[in-house]
Amino acid sequence: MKEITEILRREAARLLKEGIEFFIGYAAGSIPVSARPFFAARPEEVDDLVFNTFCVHNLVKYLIRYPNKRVAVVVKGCDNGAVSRLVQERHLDRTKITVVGVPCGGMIDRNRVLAELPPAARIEAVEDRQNALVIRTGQGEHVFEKKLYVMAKCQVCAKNNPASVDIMLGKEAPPVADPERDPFKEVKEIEALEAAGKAAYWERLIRRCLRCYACRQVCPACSCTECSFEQAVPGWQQGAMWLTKAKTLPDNFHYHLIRAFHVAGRCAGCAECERVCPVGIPLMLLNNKLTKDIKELFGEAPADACGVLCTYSPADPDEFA
Amino acid sequence: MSVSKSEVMEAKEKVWQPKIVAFLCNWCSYAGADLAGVSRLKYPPNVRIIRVPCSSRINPQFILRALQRGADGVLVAGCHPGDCHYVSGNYFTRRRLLLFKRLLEYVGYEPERLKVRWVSAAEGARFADTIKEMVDELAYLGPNIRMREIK
Amino acid sequence: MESKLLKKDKLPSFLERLMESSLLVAPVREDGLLIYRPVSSVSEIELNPGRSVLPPKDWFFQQTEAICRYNTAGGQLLLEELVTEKNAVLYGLHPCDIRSLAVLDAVFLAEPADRYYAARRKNTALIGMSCTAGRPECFCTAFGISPVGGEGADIHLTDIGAAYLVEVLTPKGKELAAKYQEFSEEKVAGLEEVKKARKEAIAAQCSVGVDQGVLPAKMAGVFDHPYWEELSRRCLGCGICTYVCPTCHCFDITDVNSGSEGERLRCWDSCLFRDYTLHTSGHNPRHELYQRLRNRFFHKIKYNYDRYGIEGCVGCGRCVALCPVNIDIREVIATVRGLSE
Repeated sequence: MKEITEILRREAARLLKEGIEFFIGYAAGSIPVSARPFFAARPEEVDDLVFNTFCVHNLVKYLIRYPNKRVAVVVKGCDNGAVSRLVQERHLDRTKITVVGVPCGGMIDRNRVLAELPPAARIEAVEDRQNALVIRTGQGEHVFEKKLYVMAKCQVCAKNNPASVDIMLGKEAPPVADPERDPFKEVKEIEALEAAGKAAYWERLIRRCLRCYACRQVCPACSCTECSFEQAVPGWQQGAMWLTKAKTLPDNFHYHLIRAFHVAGRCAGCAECERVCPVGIPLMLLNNKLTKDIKELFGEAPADACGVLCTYSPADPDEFA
Repeated sequence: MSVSKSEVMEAKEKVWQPKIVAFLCNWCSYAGADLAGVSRLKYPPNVRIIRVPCSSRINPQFILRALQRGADGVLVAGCHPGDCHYVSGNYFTRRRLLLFKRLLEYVGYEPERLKVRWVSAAEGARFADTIKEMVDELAYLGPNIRMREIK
Repeated sequence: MESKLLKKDKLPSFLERLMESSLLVAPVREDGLLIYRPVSSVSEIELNPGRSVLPPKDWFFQQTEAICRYNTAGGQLLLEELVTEKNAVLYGLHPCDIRSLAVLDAVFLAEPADRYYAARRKNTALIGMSCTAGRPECFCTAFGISPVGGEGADIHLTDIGAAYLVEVLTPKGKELAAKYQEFSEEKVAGLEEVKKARKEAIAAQCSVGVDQGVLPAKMAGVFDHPYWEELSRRCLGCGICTYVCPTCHCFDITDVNSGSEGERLRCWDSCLFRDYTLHTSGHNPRHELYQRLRNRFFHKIKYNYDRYGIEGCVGCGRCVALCPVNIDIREVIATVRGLSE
């Protein structure tokens, strides 16, 4: 990781000297075992840039805020899909972006690690030792084998070395995924339940939702300038309000099901929605279900720039005859 | 009659009847429903029809909201693939609703609650049979209780 | 102020007896998340709670609350105002959350008082619980809050080993304590020292160095500083910080109706949402995210203090722990102190 950080800072300084507006990467977080998105605007600021196993954030969505500026962005393999998605949907001008790819060894699941430390432990030091994360607290050293503590999405990751990037920082990383794991295992388990069981399962999860919209805000596929669920135009021109601000089970379901459906076929699989949720709803169970069904139903059919639902084939399966 | 009309109405209301919301495309399935009427074909009165220009007008949110706000079942009917009045609308419907139906089932709706069927303007009998089928299926399943908005 | 002791094994029966005459709202761990809600049995309660995900303000100022119902069937208007008058006891509040109620009181109880909040506040007794440990994100001491201080509660419990020190702080607390014989009157030597040592131990575990003393005055001069735009660059514009914050109190009113009946709902709103200050004319004074983010920090650090004499932040650390992009109010406070105007 150290060599990557050095190359990262060097490249960032070079690009900033060449006149880009921002180099969007990561810096150290203010709480233990974390990082944060960081916008370096001047060459002097690059020393704050880091890349480590806490750099979970998908930075690609920030690019939408600077449509006419030259920017560089650090991407991991899971973030990379979002770039081509946003370019194809004409939110981004690819010629203005410098995509800096980083070989990834997997991102630590912060909540799981913290949950296993003794209660009220003070974290004194954190060390990333390639295959393990070592956390020193007042009670001693705790070793977390990365293979066991990376995020669920990393365990099935097939693309930890981002392709088609402009600059690649360092050499390829070895695969992170566990080849035995089925990415759709949990989806299949839910599919196997009876209707009442499925309903009970989902009601329990969706009831928790605060409608903070963090999942939508962080999602690179949620890039509409006017979201279906926002009152875009007040007054007499106001369109139908699908949702109010009320937290009710039907409204919560409506929001999650339709957002998942709007993202269907366009999901990059970065799992940021799940990570940011303050009440821990496993949202990827919805997105993965749609991804799986799309593959099964339309897998061989021609793709469209805007996603699989914006096109069709006369040979599509038909259950409605 | 030995009982008054209002007493009969009251008794009928007490027994739960499935409510079906049907989205019918103007050119084929709505015409088909019309033909069923003109041909005096009998089918249960449990359906409320909403006419749309094309089945691809159907935003999945319509279906979800109908189910959340009192419908026990939703029917979406359109032209047969290849015969869409707007050439390709129903191809989009097909993709969209194949996927959406699966999503609804995944979160706990019974498969019978959303029915999608191609009904042409000449298929009055097919429309009537579809409604009969749906009412029977829903009568067996009972009222829809998932995610109901209690307004 | 009276001091009593409650043996630890007597706490469940004390709570059970409370439930006989009041609704008990207590910390419950649901699917791994700690929240405060009404309980029907003591076995549901987490007796020594850590920091909840959602703050207990939710009992007094609910996320979604029907404030009135109407029905016009039959040509008559039936209008029903929905004010909750039932007696309740809220158990297990930490000092930061107890202080947050003082902040909310300043807003909701100022004349004309909010009837819905006021009724719940009046009819709910508060049983506070001192912290047993500080978390890395906590910084209540920056606002003069003591992690073992019960000011604002009716009864306050502090874990001192085999028993809880019970401080009866208000007449309502006295009434409650008089009803229940579980409290003993034993005097334990050196109680004040125990509390002081506990406070210092916890304060040492919390964030140090957050000093917001001069800030309300300073902030006016840094309103136009580029710092706010820089800070907002990584902000997602979601509502997590506002919804988990124990002092945030913005709300929206919405009517839902069907046919001849309907209800008026009051729901939490977030100042970070795009339509927060969107006028019906279409004009939006805070159309950029940095303006909304700046507004939130000004409200917490300055406006609340200027208006009500009490800081808008209680240092509970929820927003610090849950912000997906690590926007840290402690850092904001420290940075603003150092900014030149």
